[in-house]
Amino acid sequence: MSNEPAPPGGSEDPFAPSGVTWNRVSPKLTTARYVTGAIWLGIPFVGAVVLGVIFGGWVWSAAAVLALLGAWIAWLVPRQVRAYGYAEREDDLLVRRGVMFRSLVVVPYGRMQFTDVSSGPLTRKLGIAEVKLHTASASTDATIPGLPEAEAARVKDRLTQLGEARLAGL
Amino acid sequence: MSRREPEPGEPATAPGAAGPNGAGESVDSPGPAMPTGAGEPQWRRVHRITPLLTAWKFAAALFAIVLFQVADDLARAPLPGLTLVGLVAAGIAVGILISLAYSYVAWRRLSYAITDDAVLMRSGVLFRRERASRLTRIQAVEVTQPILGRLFGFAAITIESAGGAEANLRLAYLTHDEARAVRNEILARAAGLDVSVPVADDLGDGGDGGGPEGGGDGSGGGLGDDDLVAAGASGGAGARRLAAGGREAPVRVALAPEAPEREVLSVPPGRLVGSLALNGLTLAFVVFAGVLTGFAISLRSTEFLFGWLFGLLGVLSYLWSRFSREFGFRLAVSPDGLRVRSGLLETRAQTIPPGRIQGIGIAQGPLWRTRGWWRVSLSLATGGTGSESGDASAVLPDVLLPVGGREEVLRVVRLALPGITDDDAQTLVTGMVGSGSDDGWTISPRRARWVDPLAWRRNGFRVVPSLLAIRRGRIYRQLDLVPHERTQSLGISQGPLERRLRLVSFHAHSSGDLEPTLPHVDPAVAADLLAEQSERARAARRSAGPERWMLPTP
Repeated sequence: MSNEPAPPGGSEDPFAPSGVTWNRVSPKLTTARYVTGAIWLGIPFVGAVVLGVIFGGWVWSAAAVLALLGAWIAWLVPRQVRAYGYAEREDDLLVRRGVMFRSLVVVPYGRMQFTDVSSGPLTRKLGIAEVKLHTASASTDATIPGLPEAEAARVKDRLTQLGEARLAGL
Repeated sequence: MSRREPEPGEPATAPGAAGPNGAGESVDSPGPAMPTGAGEPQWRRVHRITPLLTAWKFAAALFAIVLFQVADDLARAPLPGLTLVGLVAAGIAVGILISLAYSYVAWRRLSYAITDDAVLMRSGVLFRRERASRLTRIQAVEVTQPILGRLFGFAAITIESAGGAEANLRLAYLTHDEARAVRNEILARAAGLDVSVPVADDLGDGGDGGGPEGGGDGSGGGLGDDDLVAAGASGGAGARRLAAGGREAPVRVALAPEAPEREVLSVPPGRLVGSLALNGLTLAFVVFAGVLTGFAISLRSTEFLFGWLFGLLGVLSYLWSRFSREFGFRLAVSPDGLRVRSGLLETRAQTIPPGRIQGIGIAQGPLWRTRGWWRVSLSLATGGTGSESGDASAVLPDVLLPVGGREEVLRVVRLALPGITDDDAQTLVTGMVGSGSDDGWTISPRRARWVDPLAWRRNGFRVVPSLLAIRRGRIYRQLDLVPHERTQSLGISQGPLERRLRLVSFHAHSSGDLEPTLPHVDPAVAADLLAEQSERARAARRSAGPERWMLPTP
């Protein structure tokens, strides 16, 4: 593989294996992340604006930086949410995420130790939840955020069933 | 096996011999009838010396806390010197009494049992706890002897399950022989052997150490290499005599015979010292200390010297912990798996049953290259046992070979991962020292030199029938071996820079400390590897050996 020309089959994107239909997460996750981001950025922004009004001049640059950061997050979050995907194959679950830093995890059902379904006050209000799979390896990062509650429950039940059926040791 | 007095109605010979659970099915119990129901586990107690061995820790902690709290008040109190001394002495005495009482209650409340399915332990003074470690899920069993225990012939057993140091079950203290007997019983049961046939042979009368040959009979089930068993039993006769001390209850022989073991290698102390001297940390410290000393001399000031004194303490404590833990390292094989012994003050003998090894890492730093030394570390699904102090931060990773040459590395790795064939051994060598795409290795494409100018020809992977080998690093060489059936999950990732260069990193997630990562491969190669490796892992899992390793594969 040390030659420069593209290897055979190089057209295939490893993050989109053929024959896999991806399930997307709920767009409500965008709302949830916007609200969280607004709280984390909004309060410092208000503070920075107040300081800018009081002192004027270069002090406004803090508010400007925060505003830019906010705009960038506003641009990024919908893309991130769209980038989340999961697919239930016959023997394993695929989870992918990330726009700039992309990753894809393949978790065999039989390797699953337990699953977590969690939601905070905000996501509960929006009716979405996060499903997380745990294997015996701490480095397995298979988290699917922003699933509608019913879908989260279904995914959890199905994963538990499949895990039971294909149970393997450590 | 415990040396408590036989309780009324309990068989005087070999408690536990009559197989706790399911005794009815396999034992035609010739001895006295079981006092408990057949389904009831038979609870045993750890040695009654335990309160004394544990009390001093508790007393020291108590003393430190009290001293810290009231030392100032005492010093300021307008009391004559003698009264002060008396008060302190009384305080110490009360502290010792409290801790003895506490330790005694803790000991009374601690009991354990070994059934056909699990090791059970009940403990706790205020908050009672009963824990069951399933035999099929045991990852390793370790017999440790702290320095005090070595002096008096006592040992502790740690049963390691997956789930971190919290998941360990620790039985402390037993006499060394008893600890080994319990270890052997646990391993034999975990292996799927039937050890419930009682060996109704008391060892000696009041401990004259005679007649260990009785130990092997009867229950051998394919294990009984009587010579070795006898040797094992008589080896500890001295300690037993000391422990028994001519008192009423004679110590019994091993219920399950010790699996015969064969020593494979040992690391001489000289090489261990050399390997620690050629450590990057040692070298960095020497350079740092030299520079600071130079400053101190040229500036005629001693201030700088204190700077490195603290560094010295840190480095020394690290080197010391490595040295004392890996001193006298010996590796042996037995049907129960690998047996790793080491320790200078606190000795440990860890048994790792077959099929428990999640991955192996072989590493060499630049300083070790001249000597051709390598370090082989081992990844288990446990959180490690840590040291006797129970300090979780003191956990050192498990090693299969602290330092050794290439031949030893190959020998050790082939013992740990029996699926490796002779052909694969060559792969291991190219994985350790090789570079380029010879011998079937797939390396990073040439364009990866922009992100990895030194090691791009070395970073690569190779698949052999039993495992995936990932090698990387040119200065710090590393070779990770992950058996197919132990792969937990697989992943790929890509950062912005990698995306521009059309590169992808591959991750095999394994349980334990090992994080096998293959940086910067071609996307198509990564896609293929991901798909094929999933399939291989699936196939390997289907044909994996049984968890009870002595049973035939179903």
